[in-house]
Amino acid sequence: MIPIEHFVLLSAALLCIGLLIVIIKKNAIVVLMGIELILNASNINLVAFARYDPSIQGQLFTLFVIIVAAAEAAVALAIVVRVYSYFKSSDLDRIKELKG
Amino acid sequence: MENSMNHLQDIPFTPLAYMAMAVLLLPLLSFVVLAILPQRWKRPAIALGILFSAINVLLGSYLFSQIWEAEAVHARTQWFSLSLLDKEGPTFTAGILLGNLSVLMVMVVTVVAFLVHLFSLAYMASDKGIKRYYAFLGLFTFAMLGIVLSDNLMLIFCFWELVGLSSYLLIGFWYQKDTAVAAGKKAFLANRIGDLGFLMGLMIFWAYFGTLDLEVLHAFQKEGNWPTGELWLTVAGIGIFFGAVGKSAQFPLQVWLPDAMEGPTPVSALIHAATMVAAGVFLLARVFLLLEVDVLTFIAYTGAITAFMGAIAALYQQDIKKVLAFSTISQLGYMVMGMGVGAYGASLFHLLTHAAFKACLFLSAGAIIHVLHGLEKKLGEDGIYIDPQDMRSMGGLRRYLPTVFITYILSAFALIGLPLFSGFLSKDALLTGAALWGMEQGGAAYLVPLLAFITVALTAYYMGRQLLLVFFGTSRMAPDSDKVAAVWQQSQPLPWTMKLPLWVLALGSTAFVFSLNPVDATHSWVLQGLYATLNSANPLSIGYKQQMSIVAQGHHYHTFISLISVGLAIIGLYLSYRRYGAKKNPSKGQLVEGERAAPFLAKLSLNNWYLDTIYDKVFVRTVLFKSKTLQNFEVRVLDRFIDIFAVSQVVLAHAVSIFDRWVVDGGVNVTAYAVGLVGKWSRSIQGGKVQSYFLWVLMGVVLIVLFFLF
Repeated sequence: MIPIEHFVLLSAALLCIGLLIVIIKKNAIVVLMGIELILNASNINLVAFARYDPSIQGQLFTLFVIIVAAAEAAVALAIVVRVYSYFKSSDLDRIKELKG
Repeated sequence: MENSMNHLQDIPFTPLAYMAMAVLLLPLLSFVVLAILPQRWKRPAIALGILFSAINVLLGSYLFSQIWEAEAVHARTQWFSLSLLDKEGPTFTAGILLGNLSVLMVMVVTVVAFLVHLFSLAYMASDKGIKRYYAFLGLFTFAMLGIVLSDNLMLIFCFWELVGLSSYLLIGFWYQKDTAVAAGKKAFLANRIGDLGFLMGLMIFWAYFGTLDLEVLHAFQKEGNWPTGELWLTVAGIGIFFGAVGKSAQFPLQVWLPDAMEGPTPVSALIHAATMVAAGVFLLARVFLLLEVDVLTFIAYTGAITAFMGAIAALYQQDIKKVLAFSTISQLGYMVMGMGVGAYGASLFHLLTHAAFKACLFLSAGAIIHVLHGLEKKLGEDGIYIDPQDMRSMGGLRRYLPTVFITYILSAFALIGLPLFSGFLSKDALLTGAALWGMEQGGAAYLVPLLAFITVALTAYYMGRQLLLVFFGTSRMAPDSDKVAAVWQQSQPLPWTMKLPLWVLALGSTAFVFSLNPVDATHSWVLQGLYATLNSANPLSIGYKQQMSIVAQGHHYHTFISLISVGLAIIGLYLSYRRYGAKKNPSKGQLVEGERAAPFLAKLSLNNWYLDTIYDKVFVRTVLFKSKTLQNFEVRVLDRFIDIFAVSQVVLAHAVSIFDRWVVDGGVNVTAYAVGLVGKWSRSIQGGKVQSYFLWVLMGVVLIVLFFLF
């Protein structure tokens, strides 16, 4: 049986990679990919810890996360398309309309 | 006085009191109407003014017929109160007091005012300010009637000041003339000095009795609540007398009256003969019973001295109006002296007769001036210059102005005091009073009747001189008589509006109007009615005692005194005839020469006892010197000090401004700059980049986690 530390380390690594992508990458679509990585890092954690839990709450929650991630991706990509058609670019550095 | 409050109840107004109010307010209405109506409506406005004054005569006559020798009417209402919210304060009342004295004065004022209104129509016809003139006449009449009808001294004082103001306006009516302005100012100032005394007297009365209501004061007197022998009451009496000294032109304040001749002549007839100057005597009559014995003595001496000084000053005057002005001073001196010696009735009687004959004299002189003023222009075309008021360029006017000649001679005889004329009656009554007083007091008091008798001769002399210079002999207007006749051919006849007042007043100068017996006034209706006003007096009052002793003993001396006075008058007339009479018929040059080589007496007379010079030296110069000194002090010391102060202020201000700019402003700027920096930095957090927001959130989460972990 694979020890739990491996799952945790994997999910931590994924989380860090996801965060790094979200913060660093210029392209909005790549940023969305980073968000997917973060979500999946949490999924790994949920599934891994669910093994030590007699109920199936953790696994069900993972399913919910996948569904929400799919919905989020659909909405986010739609926004990106609209943003792209408005700014003629998906470069997040150029989209600075929220400046205070 | 604790019972004074009970005395001050309101007394309801009866129809007669309302009528008196109408008489009082009608001239005010005339003033307001004339003041409001525009200049282009001046003819109807003036007609309205004359109509009002005619109505006033009718109302006044009705009042006279109802009140004279009948029940007196007193109406009073609360005027204002000085009570605070809960503290009872003094209450001032205002009201109307109608008695024999006031209705007699109402008659004098309304009749003379009406005649002057009428006379002025022609006299002022060519004057641009005629509307203003009539408005001022209305204001003056209102103020004068206010004095006459008021029931308390406070109200009398208010109207007294209003008379002062309106006389100032009328004397200075021709404000383009500097002399007229100066004369108005002088009259105003002289009156103010007297009024100061009046005001002090009122304050003392108020302090003693807590009211200035005449009836209440008299009631105190009658009930024996009057403190006798109080020094302050003597001071109050002398103070009130000083008010009369100012208004009635008594020594030493008589200097304003001669100068006041700068006003239009009908004004002189109204205010310097019949009304304003008589107000002082009227005031003395109002407070007659309240005066202490020392005050009365003081009044008697002042009056006698004024009578004598005025008569001396009239002797050598050149100006036809100036003679009348000084004569007025002299006659007012008689009246005041009469009050002082206790001849209350005689004094008021003389006021009445004097109002008629002096108004007549002034209006006659006005008619002469009016005509000569017209001729002045015509003669001026031929290079002959005359002064229409200078008696030296008159002469022989009886042929050219017969109406004026007759009225003038009638009223002049009344002034001189010849039998069958009104002045004889009143002057004799006065002289009897003075003589009795002198005999009673003895010693120095003989001075008063002595001066009074000398004045009789002087009066006859200066009036004789004036009559001879103005009406007799030949005209001195132009060197050759043909020229004079030609000029007179062109003169306009006097209009009826001028003649009527002259005739009315000349009629009033005869004795028959006042007394059935033309040589003895003891039983005349006027004196009887005036004595009646004293009936309710306390028998212990000094004035009352003196008046009653005159009434009791007067007839013993009456014949003797009237013989002396007529004798003195004839001597005076004879002396003037010898000097200016028909045989001498002095020419203009001779007259001028005669004045130049005149003795000391003439100079004294012409300069009115050098009073103006003395006042100028003593008061005006002193004041000017003091003000010069003070001015120097101010320029040299005060101004310099202020300059230094100002300069140091400016220096200080500069220092403060530097401090302000560098320290205060600097501090503010630094603060603002720092806040700006913080703002700029904190704004940079919100750079608009989604990723940086995310980063901040992440860091926040990390911080929270770290916080919970450690």
